[in-house]
Amino acid sequence: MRPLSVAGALVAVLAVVIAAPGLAFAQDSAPAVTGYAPPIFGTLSPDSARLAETAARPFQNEARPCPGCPKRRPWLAVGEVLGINVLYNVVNLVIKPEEEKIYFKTYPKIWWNNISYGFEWDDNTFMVNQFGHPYQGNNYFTAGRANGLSFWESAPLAALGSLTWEYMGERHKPSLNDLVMTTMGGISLGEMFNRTAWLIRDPRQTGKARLTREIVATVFDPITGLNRFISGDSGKVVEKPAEYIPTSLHASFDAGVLWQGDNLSLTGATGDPFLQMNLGYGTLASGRSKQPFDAFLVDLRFGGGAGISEAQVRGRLYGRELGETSGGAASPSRHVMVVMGYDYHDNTAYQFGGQSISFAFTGMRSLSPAWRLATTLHGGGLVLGAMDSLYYDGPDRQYDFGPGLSYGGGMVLLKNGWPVARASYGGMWMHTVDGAQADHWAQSLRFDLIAPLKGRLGVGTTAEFIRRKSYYDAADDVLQRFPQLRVYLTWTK
Amino acid sequence: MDEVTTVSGGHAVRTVVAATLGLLMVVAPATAQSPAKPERGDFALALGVGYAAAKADCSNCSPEGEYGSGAVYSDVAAIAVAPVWRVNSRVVAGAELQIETSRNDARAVYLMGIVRFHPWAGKGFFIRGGYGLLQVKAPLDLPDGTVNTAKYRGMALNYGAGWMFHQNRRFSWGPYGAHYVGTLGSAVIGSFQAQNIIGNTWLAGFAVVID
Repeated sequence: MRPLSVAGALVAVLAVVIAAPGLAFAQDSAPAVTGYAPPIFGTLSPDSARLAETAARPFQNEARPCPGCPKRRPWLAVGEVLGINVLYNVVNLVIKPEEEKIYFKTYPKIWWNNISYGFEWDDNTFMVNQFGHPYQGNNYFTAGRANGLSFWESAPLAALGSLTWEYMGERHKPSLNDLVMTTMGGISLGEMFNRTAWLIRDPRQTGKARLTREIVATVFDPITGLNRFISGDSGKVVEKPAEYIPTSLHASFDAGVLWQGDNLSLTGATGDPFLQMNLGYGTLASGRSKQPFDAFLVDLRFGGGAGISEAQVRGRLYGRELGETSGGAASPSRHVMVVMGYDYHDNTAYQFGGQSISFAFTGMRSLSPAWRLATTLHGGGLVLGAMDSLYYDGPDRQYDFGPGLSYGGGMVLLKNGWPVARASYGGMWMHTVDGAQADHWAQSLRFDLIAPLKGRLGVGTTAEFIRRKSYYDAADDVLQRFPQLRVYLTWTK
Repeated sequence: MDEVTTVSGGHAVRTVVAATLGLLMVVAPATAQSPAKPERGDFALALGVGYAAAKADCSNCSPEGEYGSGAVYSDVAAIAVAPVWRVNSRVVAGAELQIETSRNDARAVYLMGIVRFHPWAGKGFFIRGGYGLLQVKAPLDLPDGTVNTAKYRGMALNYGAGWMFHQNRRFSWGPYGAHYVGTLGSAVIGSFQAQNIIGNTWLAGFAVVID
């Protein structure tokens, strides 16, 4: 597999999207028949009164579970998945250097050659394999979500898109790591982007504010946005679908400096500026889950040693309370959940990326009316991970692939809902199945302190210690230790 | 050229795919008309048997030091047993133990978690996927002309599709096809270290499900 032009494809999609709004809105100057939002200006017109009457009746439409829900079109979703591959293929044909265009000229004989050859491991860069492919998979997945399919119905579309791309989209031999990363990463990123875009959209609004929100949402989830502009849903005035309204929403934005040391010492480390965004959608350890990813966490860090140095998604697939609680915020509660994880870490000290499925147990206990303590234990399987190593395959690849395990735990002290102190431990084992034959063990110990300054503004510091040991079969074992210190201002919403 | 696997067979894959597609086309009209049946218990046992075409390759098995040693497919017989649980009317999940054996006594054992998904509730068509462990015991032709039998373990996944007749009855049955990919990492075989071994197996099978 060669690097995919994600940015190029995105630009092409956005160009179509930007051209589309005029058409879509031109068709939707009147409020939607199914809308039951109150009038924005003036009194009720006779038409509006009829609309209100319509809205008062129970909504019944087999193709749309609710007025604001996307219309259910499974075959269109499949067609879009294949169309996305055509788009990626065409964009690569257009923007690649002349000598590389041949790799994207495919036809049935090439398809058959790829299918009969089977899978191998590829030699792409860490960024392409760990972020580019999951991003491409997110496009396939959201094609399902944009056409009214559920999370679980959309998941096979990520696999379908990946398989058809690997077999038919290019001449490079199909690669096993691409199949796993595109499918699983695509599901994690896809549902996260889909729900994040729905946080931005407000289908009750009209006019320029509405259009702006639809366009910004399309940047996060291009496929859903494109579908909405083409179908005219982007202009319909309706309620937001209930499934896209989180039970709670927390976001924090950090800006600061990060120092990464080497071998126990921070002396001589130069500070790298960073910006970090943390999003808490729903509450992971609360209630019984209704749908996958109705609660998830996202950490995204720019700078700090790389353009994107950290991206983590943790989405709850299933969760429920353990035992009975007496109710109320003050009562202790325990939860168990199954969590799907996406990881991307790229900095001067190490690289790690992977897809995981874990079990997590959480507990919440009140220490006083103002103070609460949350504890977590988690463990599970690393379906496929990638970690930098002694392995070199071509100019682009210096990392191993393999499955493994992840585990850890932690506690957070909260004052009036504000996290003021956190301690956590995480461990990971990865066994190489492609690369330099080895077992990689990585552990991290981390402490956070955050002090409120004024209003939503606070100041925080994080001390982290990462220990990594790689046991190579055909080389000396390697022990690496990286202390890390971050100081930052944080704004919490 | 350093080959890791023994060589036999011809256009096995083409035959497998053609046979699978043919079976699917034949059974489609019949099953499409069958109405949804009431659901049975949560637990079921699936038994499968099939023919497969399998090959293995490694990243330094060709003179150029990359995949593409020229390894070709061998004929393989496979049996499988899978205890599964019905998650809902469209999803079945469980474990699968599959044993494959070839004419030259190579044997592969897959132990995987599997999920079967019926896009249309009550209809026979399903897609499936799995992930788990693989153990291979195989006599290998070495570059120096000797044969070495070795046992290796690794990671495997599979995906496929099929059709079930008489869903939700005591006995249901139908054809299925699947692609198994197994990866063993690097292995010392005699005096040769094969790096990043990966195997591809295309299976056409027939399953009976006892509900």
